[in-house]
Amino acid sequence: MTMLWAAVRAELRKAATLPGSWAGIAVTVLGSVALTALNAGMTRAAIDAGQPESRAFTSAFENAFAAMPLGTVGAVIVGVVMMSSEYAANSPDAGGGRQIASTLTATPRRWTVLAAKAIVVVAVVLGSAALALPATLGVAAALIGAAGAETSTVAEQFARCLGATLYWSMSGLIAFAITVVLRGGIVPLIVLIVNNSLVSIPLLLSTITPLAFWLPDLAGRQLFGGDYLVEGGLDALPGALVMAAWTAALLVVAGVVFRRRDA
Amino acid sequence: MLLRAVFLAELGKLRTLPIATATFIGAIVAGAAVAAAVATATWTRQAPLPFDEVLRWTVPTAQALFVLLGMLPIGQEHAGHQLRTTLLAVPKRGLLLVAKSAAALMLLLPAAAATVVACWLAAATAGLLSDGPGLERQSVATLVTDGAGAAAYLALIGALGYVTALLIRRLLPALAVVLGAVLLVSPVVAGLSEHARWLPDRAAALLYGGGDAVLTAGSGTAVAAGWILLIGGIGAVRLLRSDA
Repeated sequence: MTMLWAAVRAELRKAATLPGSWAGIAVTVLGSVALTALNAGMTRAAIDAGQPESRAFTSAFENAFAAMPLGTVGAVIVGVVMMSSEYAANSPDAGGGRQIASTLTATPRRWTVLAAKAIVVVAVVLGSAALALPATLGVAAALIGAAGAETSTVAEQFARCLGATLYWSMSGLIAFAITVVLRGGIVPLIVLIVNNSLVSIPLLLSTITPLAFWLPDLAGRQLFGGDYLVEGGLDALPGALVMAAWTAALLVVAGVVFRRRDA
Repeated sequence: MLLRAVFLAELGKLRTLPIATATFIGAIVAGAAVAAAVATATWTRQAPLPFDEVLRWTVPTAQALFVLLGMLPIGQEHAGHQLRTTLLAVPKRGLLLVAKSAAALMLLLPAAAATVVACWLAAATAGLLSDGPGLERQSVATLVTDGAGAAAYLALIGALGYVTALLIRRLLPALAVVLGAVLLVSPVVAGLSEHARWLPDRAAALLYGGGDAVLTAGSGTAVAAGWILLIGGIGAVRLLRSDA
């Protein structure tokens, strides 16, 4: 446990000095706030013009929550760079080595390294969520105020925020596990950003076979609740369990691969 | 003929780059797979699909790989010290940039054409072999027009990736920026504001489908080209003025 805690502290320091981590946090926080400001501004303009029906919803919460998909991309970026940075070659002037060699020299137990990195991925994503969610809700409330019509209770809103945070965390861990196996960030970055866009491959597959609803991103989408409900998909709790199972399985595979191969 | 020699050298570097070959083939396969899936999915509609409808589903997916393909000519230079070797062989940076840009186009244009042709073949074949709606019979002129528009869009998106990599100089950050902008920010902003038409991918998308109240396919292409020239211009200044 002492070694794990020391490894976590070391990985936290590495993450804090990694530009990619900050890029992922910026995408989540600043991107969500900017999108919410745009969305809420247009909703307020429609309300002031006497045309609230021209907007899908006037609720401040829904206008803020519409920015949630951007947080998934931020979590993916954090998960990818946490491991891909280990395999980026240094300058040939500095020997041309990779950071992973130094990491494994300092912490020879590979499962400890993997566990520490996974904990840091979750910590960074949770930190991003702790900043992004209140900020977006605050911006939406400031712009729309009492002019909008809330359609959900505070308890439901809180549950959906927790669900979104859980989805982000598991997405970050899945990205991290895939990057461990592939030892590079290009493929997981492309695949996972495409999957979290409007041209999601699993969503397309779901129109061909219902088995696609058991893929992790589709299974977990019900965690967002509200307008994110996927027709024919799994309910929130079973979907969360399926996504958690995928996350655990991929982390185990990543651990076995990482443990058995050379750095 | 120094330009020709540098151009051929840049092409040689791309030809021997494994990820370039993998991405080239991957883009074609991904486009064909999505086209086949759309042509067999019975939810689209019961009547056969026009080719531009297949492209409307296929191109947004394939564009991710074209972004990567466009970034490779620049991205590979900044991995390690290859750029120093390149500048040792070609000290004139302006010449290098022109040759490298031409080589990037030589990579993107055939890939775009092959992807669109593969989409048509896959959709037509899948439609024949399955119970799905399949492809509508259309004139060759219509197919060529739709296909050429989609291929031009893919090449423009690849060029956008190229100039972004030229500016940012590192492959992963450039990839995250362009993919995030094109796949996430652009569709979301388009749903919120009509001014999203001025974004490079939205403007260029008029080449293969959809209409707009302000822009046409030609003016949309000009807007996208303007973005590419603007970002490329800043990237070129950086290449010309900075150390390797």
